[in-house]
Amino acid sequence: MPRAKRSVNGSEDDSAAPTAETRALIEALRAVAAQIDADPTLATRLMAGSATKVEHETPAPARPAREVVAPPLDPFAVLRQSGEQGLREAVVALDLASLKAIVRAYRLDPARISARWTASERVIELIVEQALARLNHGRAFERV
Amino acid sequence: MAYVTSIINLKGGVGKTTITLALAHFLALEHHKRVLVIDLDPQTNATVCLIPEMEWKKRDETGRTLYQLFWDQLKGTQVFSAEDAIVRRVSNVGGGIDGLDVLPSSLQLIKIQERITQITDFESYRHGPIFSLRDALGSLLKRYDHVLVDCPPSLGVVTLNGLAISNSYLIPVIPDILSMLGIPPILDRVEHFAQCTRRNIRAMGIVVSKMRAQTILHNDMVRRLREDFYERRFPICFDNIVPESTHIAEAADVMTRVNTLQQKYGAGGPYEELSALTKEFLSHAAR
Repeated sequence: MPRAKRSVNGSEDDSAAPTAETRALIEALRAVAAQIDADPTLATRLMAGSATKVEHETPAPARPAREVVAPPLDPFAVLRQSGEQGLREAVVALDLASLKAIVRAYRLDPARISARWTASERVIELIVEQALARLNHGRAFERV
Repeated sequence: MAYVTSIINLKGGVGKTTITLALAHFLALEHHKRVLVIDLDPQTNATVCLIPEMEWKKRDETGRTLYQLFWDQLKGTQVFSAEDAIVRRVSNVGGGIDGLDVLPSSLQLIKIQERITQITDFESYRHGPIFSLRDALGSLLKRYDHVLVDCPPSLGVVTLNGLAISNSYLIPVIPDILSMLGIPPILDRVEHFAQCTRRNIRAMGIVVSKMRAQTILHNDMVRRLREDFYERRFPICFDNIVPESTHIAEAADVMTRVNTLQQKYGAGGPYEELSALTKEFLSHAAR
């Protein structure tokens, strides 16, 4: 047999007995039920509000994942092998998405200022400029 | 007159250059101060974070770096001109920042700093080129609100040239065991130098850098730095801390294109922390 809970003052009480708050809630719901009975439009309005809320709580459909374009070439390898002109020739034929994939993959623009560029020429200049700068990084410090 | 602050630590790799550059950028761009960075470190890192290395090379080959200043001292020549050597409107932010200039260092300083040291008297500072930089800059300092001197990891004659023009100095530290050991010798030597040369050089504070907040050791060391301040052994430890960050490391590349400090240092982290550090620096400088 389950033990009855002991109250703060030490007396045993029955946990099944409604508390004052439960009783107040029951009274309030009875009052609402009486109102609905008297005014059928209230039921419609309450249901409409509830439906709207449910609609809001429905999670938005997940966005389709953006397609990740793989970089079609390694600008540093091309630069080492074919020089600046070779790199220009290699990238000039690429579409904007491929050019931006190169920029992203090789972190040629960490601040992502080129993210909104729409002209391929600008992105090509960025690729060539940054690839040259990285490849020549430290050259000024040689044989000082 | 410019408020001159040297950034000093006997240890290398503790963030002296990082803090110098960050303060310089934020003072110039966010507080519209006229700032001169003097790169005294022969590693030339501050210089090549502000101007392209090939431009530095051209200047070095034509006597427009601090190597020429000290070479003149050894040879008795007077070729160096600070006016010509200072590079104006530097940094990669927006293609250059109005009011941010640099006096470049040189790798060649490595070759001669031993010889300069030999002619320097480190007890009374009566002999040796301790005031070469001060004499070369002359009235040029008046053009600036703040001068930040990035010192080499030593308290040799090159660093003393920076201290000889300084109102205060900052000590960057990584919050680890060995970095803490380096603080008392700095305080002692600078105090000795200040007394001998009758200068007032204030220890502005300690700046914690390369902080890894998830590390128990780092957190413990920061707590100890603050306790040591309350026990009056150390100068104040700045409230704002420079975190270990890839963004800060990448900010060293002067060849990348950026338009704002948020882009350079990374919004939502290092940018906010460095911005707050600069405000704290200004409040200490005003005291």
